[in-house]
Amino acid sequence: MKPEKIKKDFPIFEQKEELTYLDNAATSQKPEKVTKAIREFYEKHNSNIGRGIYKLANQSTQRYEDARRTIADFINAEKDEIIFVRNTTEAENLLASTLDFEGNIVLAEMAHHSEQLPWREKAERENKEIKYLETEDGKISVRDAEKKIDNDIDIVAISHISNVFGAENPVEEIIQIAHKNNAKVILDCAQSAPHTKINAKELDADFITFSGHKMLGPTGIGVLYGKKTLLKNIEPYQVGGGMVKSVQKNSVNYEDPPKRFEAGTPNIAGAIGLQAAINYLENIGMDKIEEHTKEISEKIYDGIQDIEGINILSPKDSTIISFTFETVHPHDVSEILNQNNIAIRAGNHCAQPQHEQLDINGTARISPYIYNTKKDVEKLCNALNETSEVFNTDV
Amino acid sequence: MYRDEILELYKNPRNSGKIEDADVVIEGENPSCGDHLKLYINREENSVEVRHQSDACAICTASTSIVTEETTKLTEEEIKNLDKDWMLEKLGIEISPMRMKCALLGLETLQKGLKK
Repeated sequence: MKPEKIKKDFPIFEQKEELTYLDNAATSQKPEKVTKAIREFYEKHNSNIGRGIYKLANQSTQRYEDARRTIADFINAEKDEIIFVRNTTEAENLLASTLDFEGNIVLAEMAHHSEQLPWREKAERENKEIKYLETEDGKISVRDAEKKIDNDIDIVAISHISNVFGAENPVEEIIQIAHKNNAKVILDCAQSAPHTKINAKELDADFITFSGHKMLGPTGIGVLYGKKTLLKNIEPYQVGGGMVKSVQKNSVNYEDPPKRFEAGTPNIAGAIGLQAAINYLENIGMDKIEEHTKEISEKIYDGIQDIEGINILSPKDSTIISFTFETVHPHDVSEILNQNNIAIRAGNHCAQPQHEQLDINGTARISPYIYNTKKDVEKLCNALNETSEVFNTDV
Repeated sequence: MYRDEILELYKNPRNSGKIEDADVVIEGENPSCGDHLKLYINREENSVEVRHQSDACAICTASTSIVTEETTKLTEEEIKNLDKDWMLEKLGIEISPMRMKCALLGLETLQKGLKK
């Protein structure tokens, strides 16, 4: 894989030649193929989907459904198991609002606010208990999962890759433990779908959620996958146009999934943009992408671990490198890197409880992707060395 | 942004520490970025004495240091009238919109404390 060549597909790097973008866990940049697909849809094919019987409406409906097919194939699912949502957060809210169950809930200490708050809200509303799986060396502890997931638990909502630490959690083992106890698993793949092949059938998670914008797609489009045997028994999340078979004055007959969960005019151009992003990723190959991001991450890890004051929190095989700097606040790290045209993220990364538990006031987070080069790594290491010098010299 | 004076105030904050039996103790924080301060305030006749314990970024720590130094010369009424422009002038550096809350946390926390 040649990241220098890939970089040329992204107009933003032509506009901002000096930019080293390392905040991909927040959102990714967009290749021209994606922006072009969206523009083309609006300029050449725009129409609402569904009811229209004229040619343009037919084509639009077909394109939208074709995008659904591409996404289903991408994660080895069936087309009717793919629901378009705004983002991972909306997918989690949809499930927390509609799933009806008797038992309690298991989350992870490292959980992003979006996979934590919808369930906390539900637990409060319905008087349920929540147990939190501990973090062990930057990953969810299987030992703790064995202890906490029992027959009283009906839902286990965890992330495939944490947005704080960037390591792949032992999800297959946790899914097995959950299923042995008849609990359903919701797997947040927001950080994994951009980097690694997701195989819904092999993973056997009951629901999978991810966002388009972190994997080269546009903002405002995300995916909820659900096993069709489960989706068919879930009531609608929102009601309105496009999700009904028929409406009489005193009764209503809802559509089958996935349409049942897509009330109103959906983000058609967004779905088409996400399809273009997936085609772009698959053209490179998910295995090569994973290999590249891991290689760049490892170079960053090796390059910064010996800088005076740096303490890396991510395990070595991660695709995100989170660290603290003994004498430098994360915001100051980010600011100095910003002055060198390097974009990283500083703060609690929407996982405040995990930071409280670690007793740190935030971290600086580096998250590379397909367009990051060895030159970017060098520039980053130089800037962090400079940061260390500025802050560790007595004045 | 990180001129020597700011770094110096970050590494050696002025009026750092506690006041035993302070008239007012108040905490301030920017939870999303992790700045946290605790101010100890003593009300004098024509000024206030402030000490602080800061676990915050360079901009926040330096600006809080400046606040604690300047307020020894000001009355409570004058402190209540201080604003963003005053703070930025004292800091003497350009602050981006995202860092504004770091620069103002010390002053705003003190003003809140004086309302108690």
